[in-house]
Amino acid sequence: MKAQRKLRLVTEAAQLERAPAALPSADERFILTAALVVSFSGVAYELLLATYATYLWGGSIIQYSLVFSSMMLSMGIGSWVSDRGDKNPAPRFVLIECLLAALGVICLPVLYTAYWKGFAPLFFTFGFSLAFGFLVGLEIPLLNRWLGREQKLSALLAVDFAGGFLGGILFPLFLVPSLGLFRVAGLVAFLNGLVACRGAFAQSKRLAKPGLFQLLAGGVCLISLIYLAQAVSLQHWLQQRYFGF
Amino acid sequence: MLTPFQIYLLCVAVSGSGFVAQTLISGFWSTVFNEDSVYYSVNLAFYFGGMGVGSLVAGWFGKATEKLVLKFVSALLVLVALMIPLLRVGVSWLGNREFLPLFLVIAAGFFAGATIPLVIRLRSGKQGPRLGTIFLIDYCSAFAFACLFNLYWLMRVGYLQTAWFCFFGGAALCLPAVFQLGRYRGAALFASGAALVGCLSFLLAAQGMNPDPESQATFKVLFARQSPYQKIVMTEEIGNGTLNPGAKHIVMYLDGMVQFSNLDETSYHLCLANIPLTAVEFFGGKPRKALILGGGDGLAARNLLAYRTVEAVKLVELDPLMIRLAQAEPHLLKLNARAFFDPRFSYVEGDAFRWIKETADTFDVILLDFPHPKNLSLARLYSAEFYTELKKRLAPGGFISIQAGPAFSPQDPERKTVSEISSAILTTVQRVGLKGDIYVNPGGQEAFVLATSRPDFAMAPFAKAMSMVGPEGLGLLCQYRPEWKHPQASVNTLNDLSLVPYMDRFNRGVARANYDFRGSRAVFLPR
Repeated sequence: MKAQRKLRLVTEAAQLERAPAALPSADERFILTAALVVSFSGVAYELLLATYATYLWGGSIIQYSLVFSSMMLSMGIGSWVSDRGDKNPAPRFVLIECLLAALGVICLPVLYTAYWKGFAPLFFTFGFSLAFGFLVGLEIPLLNRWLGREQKLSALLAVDFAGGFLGGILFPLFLVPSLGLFRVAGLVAFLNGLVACRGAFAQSKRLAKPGLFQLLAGGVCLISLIYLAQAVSLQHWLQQRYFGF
Repeated sequence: MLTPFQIYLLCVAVSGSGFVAQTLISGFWSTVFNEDSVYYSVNLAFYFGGMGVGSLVAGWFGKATEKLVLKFVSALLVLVALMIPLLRVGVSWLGNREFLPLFLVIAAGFFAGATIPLVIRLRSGKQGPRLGTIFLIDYCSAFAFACLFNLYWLMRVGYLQTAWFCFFGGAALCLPAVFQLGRYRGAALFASGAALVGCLSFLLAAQGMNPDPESQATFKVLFARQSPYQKIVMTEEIGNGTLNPGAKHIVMYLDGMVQFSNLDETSYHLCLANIPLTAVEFFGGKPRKALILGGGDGLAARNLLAYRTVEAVKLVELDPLMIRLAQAEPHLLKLNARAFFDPRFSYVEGDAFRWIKETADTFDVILLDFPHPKNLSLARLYSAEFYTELKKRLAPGGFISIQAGPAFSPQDPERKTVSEISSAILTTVQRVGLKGDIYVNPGGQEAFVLATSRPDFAMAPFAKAMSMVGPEGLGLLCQYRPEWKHPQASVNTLNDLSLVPYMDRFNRGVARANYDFRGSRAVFLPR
């Protein structure tokens, strides 16, 4: 509560300072929620990758360092790229969220298959962490442009870090022990899908072809929900198919 | 006014050293405790939490000034210089408390998180750098520092020295900005401040490194080195056991856990190596080829090579340092009876998991001599996927013996139920289509799983013939009781490494019951 009040104080002070073309507060809330979900899912995917790579190939220090640092690198590249185009942020946002959800859904089965085939782990963990990092990195400058005021940056970053904090705490202490890795992946993907849906439906004025985006976001949302519900049977199916137990 | 370049350098110093601080603390802490993944994630979370608070606080400052930025950067660097010594002093004063590193991680996150928005606002609205560029530098320097310090320096010089490198490197990056703002006087002040903090850090580190005089009197360190995989320590200790108190004995620690002691390794290796070998003979086979996975000390190999019928023993060990030790360390050479120089013996340096997939050989006896499944990297060597591969390498009529964790839970002093860990390993073995059962060493601390693909295998007649069922006491080879209960335990697969939480629960039970357990912790702090 206290943090929220402070956040409001900060945003109000910023509004007093200069307020060009103020966004409606509903939009602002949406953007801050989106930032929370993006950073939560970024950290959750990062931990998911590092943990699952350690499950499959061992060597926790190497796996964690590699995943964290390569994700940092691609987040940097993503946010740098994000600054290049100054177009309408809404369609990009929906698209990025859909991509994140899709990657989250395919990530673990692909890694397990790679492991079974005996492929080198580096290529796959690196590839996924670069992709996740790039997409997450695209988001923050994009949302910041959407918010439209530099003074809001502190609030946006605070929400961003709060999402990271939640991800880091919930993942090892609550999510993985109670759900297992596959269902956590499904849950995070579903969260991304939900935000994409919210964006596609609530921001339809800003989208050129709202129907298309709504269909895409809805489809991704549905697929990740099915994945979440069937994660354990998928896991058993993979084990049965590859190792026969 | 600072030039953009000087500002970029400050950014590199802040995000790089902040990230290194975070990873150093979690790495240091995961070697003090054993659960790596939880500590990495929680530390990362608190780092982010600290950054969030920092960037909120940064919003309170009406106007971002260069001096303010510099103050935050310096505070972070001081923290980096002092954190590892503070942790060591903290551990030696207060013991292993989880909250100690969290304070430091939050503080590091706070300073790093406050600086970034201040730097961005410093040049906002003018010809300043774009947000994306700042973030690029921010993330890339975290990447570069992480690669340079964590993957390079840390593996070679240790935590303390890595932190010092990072501190002085960061201070050097700040110097152009300091010079711009304060000219010669400012730069001199800054440099002498850095030197002072460095000295303080050295002094504190020396404090924390002083070994406990009492512990020094009871053991002598024969060997202590960090390999790429683990810290190997060999000591000569004065035994305080009941068997022969006051006797000197040799103990090997891997990452602070007892691997073996020459006083009780005989019974352990009898259970691990001789039981499956005699089982092959008992059920009418001939043990010719044997495989040992792990066990680079060569002690299990010694037991196998003692049999004339054994024609070849192959050992697969991950850690090259362990193999060099087993071939050269005089105490170890005496213990393993120069097993590595026997013409029937051969070894491979590599990951057992990868090697077993690539080989086409089959073996009559396979021994799995891995450390307890206390973390993810070790628990995967007890997974159903691994046992599936192992089953393909087992000759018809062959036997596998698996070191299957602590035998009984500390909450079960009458030893009626085997531990969840052993039960889970047996369940996993049965899931891949092998038959098996659990037996324990004479002291009853270590459990073993004997597994085979023979359909006619039954443990009871074999155990009776081996007099494993007799009364407890000395002279008994191993123990087996048909009436032991096996608790419900889930299969350990690569998608669900259930052994790690079981092991964790066991360790917490040990801590609660103050149970005297073979693997009880000796704290050898990381360098």
